[in-house]
Amino acid sequence: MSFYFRALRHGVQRLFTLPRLSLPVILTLSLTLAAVLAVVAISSNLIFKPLPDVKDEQALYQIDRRVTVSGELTTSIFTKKRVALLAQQYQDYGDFTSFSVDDDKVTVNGTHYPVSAFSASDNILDTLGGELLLGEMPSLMNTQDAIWLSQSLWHSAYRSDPAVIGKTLHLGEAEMQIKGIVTDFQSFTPGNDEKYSQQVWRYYNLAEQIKTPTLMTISGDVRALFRETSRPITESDVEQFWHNYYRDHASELGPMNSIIESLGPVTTVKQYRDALMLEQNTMIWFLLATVIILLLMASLNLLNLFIAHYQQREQEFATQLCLGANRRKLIIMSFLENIPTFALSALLGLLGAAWIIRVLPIVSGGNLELIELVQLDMVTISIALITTLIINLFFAVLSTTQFNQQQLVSNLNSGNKGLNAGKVTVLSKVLFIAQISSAAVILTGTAMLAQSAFSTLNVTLGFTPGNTYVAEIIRHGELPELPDEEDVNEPERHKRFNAMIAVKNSVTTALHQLHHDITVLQSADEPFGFASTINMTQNSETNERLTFLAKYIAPDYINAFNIPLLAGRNVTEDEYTSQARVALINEAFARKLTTDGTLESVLGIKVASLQVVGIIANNYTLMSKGDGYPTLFNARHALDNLNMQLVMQLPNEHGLSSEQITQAITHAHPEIKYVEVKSLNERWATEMLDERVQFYFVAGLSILTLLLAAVGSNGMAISFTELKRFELAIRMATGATRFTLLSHTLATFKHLLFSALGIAITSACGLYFMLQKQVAMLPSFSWPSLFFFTSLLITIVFFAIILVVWRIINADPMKALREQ
Amino acid sequence: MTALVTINNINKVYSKGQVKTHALHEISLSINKGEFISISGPSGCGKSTLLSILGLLDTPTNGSYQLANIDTHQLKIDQRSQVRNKHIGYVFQSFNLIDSLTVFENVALPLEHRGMPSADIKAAVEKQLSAVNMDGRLAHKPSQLSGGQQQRVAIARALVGNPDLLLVDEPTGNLDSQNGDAVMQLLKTLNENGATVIMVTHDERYSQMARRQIRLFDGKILVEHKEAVA
Repeated sequence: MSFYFRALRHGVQRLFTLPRLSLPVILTLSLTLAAVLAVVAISSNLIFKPLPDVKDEQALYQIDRRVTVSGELTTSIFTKKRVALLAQQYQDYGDFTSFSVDDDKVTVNGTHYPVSAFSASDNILDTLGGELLLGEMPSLMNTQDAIWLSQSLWHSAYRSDPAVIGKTLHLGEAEMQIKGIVTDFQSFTPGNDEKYSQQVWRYYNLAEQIKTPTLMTISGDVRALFRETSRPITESDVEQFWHNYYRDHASELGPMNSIIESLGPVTTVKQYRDALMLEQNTMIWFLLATVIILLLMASLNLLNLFIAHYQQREQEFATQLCLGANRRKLIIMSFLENIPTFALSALLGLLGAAWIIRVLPIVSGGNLELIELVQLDMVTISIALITTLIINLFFAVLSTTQFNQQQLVSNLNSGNKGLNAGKVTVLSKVLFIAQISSAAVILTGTAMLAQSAFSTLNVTLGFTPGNTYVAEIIRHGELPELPDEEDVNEPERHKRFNAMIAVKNSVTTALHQLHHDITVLQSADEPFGFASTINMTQNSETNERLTFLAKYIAPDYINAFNIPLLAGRNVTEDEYTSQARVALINEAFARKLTTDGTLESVLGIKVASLQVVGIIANNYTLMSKGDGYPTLFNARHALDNLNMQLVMQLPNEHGLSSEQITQAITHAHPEIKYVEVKSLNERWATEMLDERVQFYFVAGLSILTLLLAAVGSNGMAISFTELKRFELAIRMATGATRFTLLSHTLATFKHLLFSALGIAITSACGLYFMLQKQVAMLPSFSWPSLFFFTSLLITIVFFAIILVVWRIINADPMKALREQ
Repeated sequence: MTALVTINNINKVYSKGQVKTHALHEISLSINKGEFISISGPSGCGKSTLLSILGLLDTPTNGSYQLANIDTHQLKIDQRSQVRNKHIGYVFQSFNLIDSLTVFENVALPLEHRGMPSADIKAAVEKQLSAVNMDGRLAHKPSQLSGGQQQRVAIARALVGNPDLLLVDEPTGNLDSQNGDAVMQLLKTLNENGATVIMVTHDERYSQMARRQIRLFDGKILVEHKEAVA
């Protein structure tokens, strides 16, 4: 058997016969490679590859003008008509197109398919670069009640049947005729909805939109795209358009211009890819930096392990050199010996990366756009191979560089005594400090992120959700708009209110048959605000414009959810029954309206034509992701459509499934057309899914880091204690107990350990403070979290060291003396 | 007769900080092919240092060393490995067999480093192990052998490449007297068959088995005794 083949065979054997080396190497390298390769795959796919379904993306721009409604919530003010007008003004520059997208479902032969439903101008296929696979191109003549399916939906719902053209399906409740099949479109962001490759498209003619009425609406949420054909459009051009728009439609728009201006509108013209990626390039670079530190740390750990391993094989290498092997041959031998371990690590790393890429869409919580396009490509696989080869080669070279002439002679002539004459090298000390510092840097970051995620998960709600269910109900029929005139409006409102109450009573009866302890609330909303609307008002004293959440409640609201009343009174049963113009507001809203700093001063004032009768405590809402968003609790229901919401409560120990409740409500009243029921707990769990997964991800990263720190300390301790083996033997021979030896060894370690930890924590904190100034998304610094994670790190490092020292002490140190 | 080894005025000084140790002092020797030389002396007299220099495991501080007409002073590190592989066989007191390899693989190492075909290696190794009466233990690991057997394997490894010079460092140091005698008898036979042997030993009895005996003291040749060739 050749020398090299034997080295390779030994490498394979070592996987099993030397688990003390192979296991930490495989574990460390594969976990780290998984993280590195996942990020490399993301960077490779999202930063460097062209968008898969957009032609000539360099010439495609997204035009936007956004206003900030609250905190992080912004909305585009482009509507179809506004895009059409913009296109008309700058038609010589290039082609304009627009689209919006929501999630919906289509029903084909009784089967429901969740889809991304696009509403787009009929030139979008040409502008983006999509293809019509079957049927007819959309035009002014064929888009009424017509729908185009994406290839994926065509395949799943119709098994790619070419005879699909002309058939009908239901989009939501509407019947549509299929006019064509188009290619799937992946390069879009779904907003707050789910994203599906199964898609439906409804088209409209952009120029025709100019004829539609000018609406005084702020939120447009239509995306305006521009493909440059003759000259680029600039932000100044777009600003000029808005100036003309307000000027030309002043009478229809009323105060909208001043409202929008008060919300700080920002105009942007970005290349489509940049608009898709938002700020995630920064995030990807940040992730890349993190995993590179992890890889560095893992390599340092392995280096220490390999130093320890090669120290134990010094005599063997010396013998090989003596028998005529040159250094190159020994390097190749070490390289081949390591190949099986490194190859297995690379393979596991790739598998881990593939798994991470699968879960990333969930982990990223919608923060990584187009993440579903990411896959393991040749670049990633090549990087896995190159990384492992480089590390392997480096360690192989290391195996021989530590020999000098004197050591060679010493090893050959002194048997195993050579080991005992050794000292912990400066390199080993530097490596130990470097890896503990790397661990501290990553742990500091993860500590802050974990603290932030933990706080989000364990937020104080300010109310008791209880065992609550919410039903969304749509009733049959049609409702004309409510008349403006008071004398006609009020009787009509009462009629509609009573009709709604009649449905509610029927539902209550049906639900009581299902469960006698169920309570149907008069209030139509719940405190989380899953279905709240945002309104705007003006403070009459300061003229400040205020945005607020509006919820529809009744007298039972504050008791049902245990929300404290801070000032004034609750709405009364009479006020609710008569639909009086009264409301409660929360403390955050009251603080904005108060003239003298007291809550009482707000009582009696009118907000959105409702008189404030009471002020209740703030509570957590989804809008604010906290408890301070101004909210108006309206006792006067919205009665302008046939939708209604029902809130039900059961005693905590009782449970009903959403399906049982849906079934009971659906048949409770003939007017009920559609029902969807969810429990608040389910909704909250879904809402917090991203945060929970992010917390687990951060926790996983922390565990990986701690594991790496433990492995690194382990390697260092092996190396250090092996060198001390001879000394330990002499101490034992002269009467030292194992505990004395342990404490003596740890004492010699402590200076290095505490210096390393000191340097590590100082550098980690310094780096974090520096990064925090550069990266806004980093959470604020938390000393308790740092203390917790640092204590964990110290404990793990100490434990890893003690474990090794104790093992070596127990493994017959006297052998060193006998070998002499 | 042609000199296989010629060393002239060799000095070896070890420096550690301010402390300098003169291990060898102006040593000159000429060794012919077929000689059996023992080097003896008290601990620290420079025996092992001299053997290391002769084995190209170490370099002299100054002085010249020619082995088989090769000026070793000019050799780079990998060339020294090649010369060691081709011209020198080394037997250590502590055997220095590689635990993870079998007896066969240990003995085959010098030939593998030489790049010899597998079939030739097999034949040469089996022949050499047979010569030291270890042909029944080819697949054994060193840990499965006695000290005497390990030393015989080490000698086989040193001889398998037909070196010009066999350097033996305290060959009986880790052996009982019975095994020690057997190993010495083996070395004597090898010498009688033409091998040039330089042996370091502190055992006067074994030292006298060599036809040329050199005694070192404080890094200098104290006395040299040469038997007349019969």
